[in-house]
Amino acid sequence: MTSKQLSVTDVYKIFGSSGSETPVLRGVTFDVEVGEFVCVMGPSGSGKTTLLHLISGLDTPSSGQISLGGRSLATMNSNERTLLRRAEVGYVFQFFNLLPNLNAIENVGLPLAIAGQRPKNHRKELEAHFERFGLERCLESMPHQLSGGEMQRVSIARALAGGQPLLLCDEPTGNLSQIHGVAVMESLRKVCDEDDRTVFLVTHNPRDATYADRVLFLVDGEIDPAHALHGPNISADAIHEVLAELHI
Amino acid sequence: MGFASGLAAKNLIQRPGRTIFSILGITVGIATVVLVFAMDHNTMVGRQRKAKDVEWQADVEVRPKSGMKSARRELTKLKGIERVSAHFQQDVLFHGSGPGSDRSEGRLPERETIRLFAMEAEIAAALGVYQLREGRDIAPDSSQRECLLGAKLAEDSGVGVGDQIFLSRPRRAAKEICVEGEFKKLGIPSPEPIDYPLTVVGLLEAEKIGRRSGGKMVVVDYDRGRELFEGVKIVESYWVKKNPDSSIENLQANLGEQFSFDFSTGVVVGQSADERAFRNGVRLAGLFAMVLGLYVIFHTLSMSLVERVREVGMLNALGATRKQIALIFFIEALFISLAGGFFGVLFGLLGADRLLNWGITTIGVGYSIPRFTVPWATVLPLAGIGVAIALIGSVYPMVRARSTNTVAALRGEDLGPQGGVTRGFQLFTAILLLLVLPGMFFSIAPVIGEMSEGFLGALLAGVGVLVVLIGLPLIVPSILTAICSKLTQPFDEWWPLAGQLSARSIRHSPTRISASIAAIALVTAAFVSLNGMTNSLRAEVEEWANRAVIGKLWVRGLPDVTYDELREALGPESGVVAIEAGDARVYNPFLILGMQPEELAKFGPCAKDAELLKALSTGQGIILSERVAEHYAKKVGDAVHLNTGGHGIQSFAVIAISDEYGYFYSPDERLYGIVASSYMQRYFCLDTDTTSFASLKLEEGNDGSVAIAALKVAYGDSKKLNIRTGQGILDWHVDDITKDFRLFDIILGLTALLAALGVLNGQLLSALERWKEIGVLRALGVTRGQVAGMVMLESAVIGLTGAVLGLAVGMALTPVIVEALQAISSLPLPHRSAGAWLGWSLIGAVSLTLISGLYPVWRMNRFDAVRAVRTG
Ligand SMILES: Nc1ncnc2c1ncn2[C@@H]1O[C@H](COP(=O)(O)OP(=O)(O)O)[C@@H](O)[C@H]1O
Ligand SMILES: [Mg+2]
Repeated sequence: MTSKQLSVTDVYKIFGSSGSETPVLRGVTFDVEVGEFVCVMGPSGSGKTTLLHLISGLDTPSSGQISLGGRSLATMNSNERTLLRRAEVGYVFQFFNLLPNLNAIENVGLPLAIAGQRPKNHRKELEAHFERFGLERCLESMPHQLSGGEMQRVSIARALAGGQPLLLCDEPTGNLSQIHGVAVMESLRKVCDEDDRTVFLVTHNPRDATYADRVLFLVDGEIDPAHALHGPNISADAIHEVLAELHI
Repeated sequence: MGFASGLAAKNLIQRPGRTIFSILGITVGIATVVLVFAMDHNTMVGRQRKAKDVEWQADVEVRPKSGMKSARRELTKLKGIERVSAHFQQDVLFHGSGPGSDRSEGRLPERETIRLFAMEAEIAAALGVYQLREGRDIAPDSSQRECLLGAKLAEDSGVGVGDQIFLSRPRRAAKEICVEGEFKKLGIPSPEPIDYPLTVVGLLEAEKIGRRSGGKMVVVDYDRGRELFEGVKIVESYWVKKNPDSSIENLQANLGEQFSFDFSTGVVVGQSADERAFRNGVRLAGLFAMVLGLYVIFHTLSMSLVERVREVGMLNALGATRKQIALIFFIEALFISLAGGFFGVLFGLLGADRLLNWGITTIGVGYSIPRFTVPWATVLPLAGIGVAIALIGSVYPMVRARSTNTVAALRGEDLGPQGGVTRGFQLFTAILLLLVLPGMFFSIAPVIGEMSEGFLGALLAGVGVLVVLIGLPLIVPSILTAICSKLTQPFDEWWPLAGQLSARSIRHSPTRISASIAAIALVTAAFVSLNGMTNSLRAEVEEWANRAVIGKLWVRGLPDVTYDELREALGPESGVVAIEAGDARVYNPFLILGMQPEELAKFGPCAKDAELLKALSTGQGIILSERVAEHYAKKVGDAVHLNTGGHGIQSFAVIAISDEYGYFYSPDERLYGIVASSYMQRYFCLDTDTTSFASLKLEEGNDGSVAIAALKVAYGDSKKLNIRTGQGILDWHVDDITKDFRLFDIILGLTALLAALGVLNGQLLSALERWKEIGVLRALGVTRGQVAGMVMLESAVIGLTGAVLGLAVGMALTPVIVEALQAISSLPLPHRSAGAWLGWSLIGAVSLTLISGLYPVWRMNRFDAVRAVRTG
């Protein structure tokens, strides 16, 4: 059990009030092992972002169980969930969400600051993240001076800087060009391999999914284990095959 | 802490416009209040300069009727009296140089007759019957013989503070009194005056008793006065303070027949009703400015939360707790409010000093306040309240934001100005500003004087209007915004895009729009009702002038001519109907003038009514001016008691109340009564046959030019000759009102600035909120001009709606204010509207909002289109 980074059991999420209820997730169940790179694929509107919100404790499921790092979210209040998120989760958003008033390195230092540390004392480590993603030039740049790819890599660096074991990525290449997208995905792969971090990625882009150790498909609010792809089976062709089979 | 403060600092620095305009809003709000109170404090200190903090206000001045033995004992025996203080006046001989040198040459120094006022030193200062120009009050129970000197006397004799003077009893002091028009000697005249030395410790302004005897007067301690006049029979007066639980009417009844009394507290206590009204008005204006300032800040802060909701969501997703996020906002707000508080106090005090230097005070224009002191005990709590409320205003949205959904924020959903947060916030604001703030304000700075019913009514009406206007955005935002977006429709013709966009932006943010409108409306209403009020005051003066001064001429500095000589000098063509002389006057208890009935018979009430004329000439009748009748609540048939020397208290019957006779511009006094000159002669031995100061009643339609020319020919050699027309006197009075209300204009100007800042902040924040949208528009080819058109159209619509609303409220409020003022000041105020100010307010409001749109326009046109498009 301790090797499970994340465990999602029979999770339902229903939006709206009685009468106009929209079930978005309908009994989603899966586990993610420590150090694994898992990708959930699904068309736009299938509930991927919603799933990430539930996992990170930003939102609560209508029913079902979620545990992060072996701790169940169910009994926690909002503040406890925030503290758990701080400890366990690094978040990468589709729209980067860099703070416009802070420069790149200040943005990356943010998780340290939030945790009550002084980013200044960790300048070396922070700079190392920049070097690793080829961002040396951008240390002091303001977000609006960066390209989309650079912004996303800065936000990955930010997700790493806090040292959390689990990286949640919400369509990180969704707003990037082909080249930038590849660079970001390679960075994520590197993080998983070299840093022993767990990466949990949601996307509707088959190319991104090829970087994963395991690919799950979210269709009609459910994840059918029968359609999952594993390590050596993962290729662009295989993914397209499953998508076609599922009529996506 | 480091994280929160670092982020807060970044936010403040990266958004200089938002930071500066927020600070500016608090600064102006607090500065206005501080200015008002610092000015009021210094005005009062400057006027009173009390040696000690004894506040002793007399309710009534009492004179015993002739024959009473121990008046003080009688008084203290009466029910309902808390305290009694005696004083008396006497003529006294004065000389300023030492006796030694003169004596050695065997001659007496030149002596001059002046007026002596003896009053109990320990309360003299607190009574406010005089005002110090220089030096200090007489020390109570000092063995020193100290005195205060009138301005004119000091000037003429060259005596200053620290010098010694000598007083002596007049050779016939009080031993000669006026009986039947002749001075009678009583007893044996004293052989030779004995010099009584006194040290001058202060000089008096030529105001109140300092004005008596043309400033040739001296104030001494009561006991010193008694020493000086030992053995002389003296008519004393008593200042009486009633028990708090006994009414004026009871007191009046108790004083009954034994005493004559004078309830002109204005004369006694130095806080006349209109002054009090004026000061309270200034304070209310200050409060109004503060409420408005904080209202503006509340909106700024609540909007800045909306703008940054996404940031809140992101920080939360990264693991920042609510507490940490709240701390960021709190630190930002703390900085903004402290900076605002600091600059507010600074500029408020500097401004107060400046204005006082220019002679503008909280009791009118033209007083000199020599020294500026800071009333920290009032200023700091007021500034503290301002800062605290600004802080609460910023923390409150954060508390409410607990319920904000991080997920919604991350999805970029609009937290929406229509959202529950804003609605609740509006309610909170309204309650805080309208109940708590005035409550705290008045507990720190209590209203001066007693809360009269009229004043309370006005206060309630004012608060009611504030409630309505501040409540507007809460109650009917959709109505206001519907009106506004309708107003933009016609502009679609000329600027299709700007019209459409501004209509959309207006509908999108009803709270911001109605808050801006409310601010503009508040200021417009204040302008309109203030100008309505001053117009009423002017109209009161005009109506009085029509009765009392129009169609008359005044000539001063005549060489003591008889009526016949003056008539001759004027010639047959002058058009002068009658001559009134202003020389025969006594203050007893108010200004009494002696006039020749034959002259009064030629115009006004006496011309129409032979009975009246007879009562005036031979029936010991008195004609009162309207103001004196109002002030002392006298009706025709009531009695007025005059204190004469030789004939004791004499009772005169009020036979008419009219302003047509007897006004003289020096001193400018509308409180007076007129008796026949024969009584002046008989009771006060005043010469009534010649005059140096006359008022000439002209024929209907005569402009007086012939008379003026004739006077110049006849008496032009005299340098002292001074001729004034009725119109000139009217203009002078009207001008006085305008000047006196300049302070209100300044305060209202500041509130207008605040309202403009509110509009500006609203537009700026909404621009920041929509930067992406605007960037995209720019990328799509929208020009800077079109962006400007959109904002300007919105500004114009806000200005117009606010002004119209304000005009309506202001016009409705004017009569209420005028009624209240009437209740406080007992002036018969006619109702007037703001007149041309209605138009000016409208133009002003629209221009102001247009100007305040300029910065947001500039800022919007600097948004990076590329960045907006790229970040999706
Ligand atoms: N607060 C909400 N209320 C109602 N429906 C919502 C809400 N949030 C998301 N949804 C719906 O849930 C579905 C899944 O949304 P989302 O998780 O963003 O999908 P994805 O990220 O896969 O594109 C969508 O149909 C969306 O409309
Ligand atoms: Mg999504």
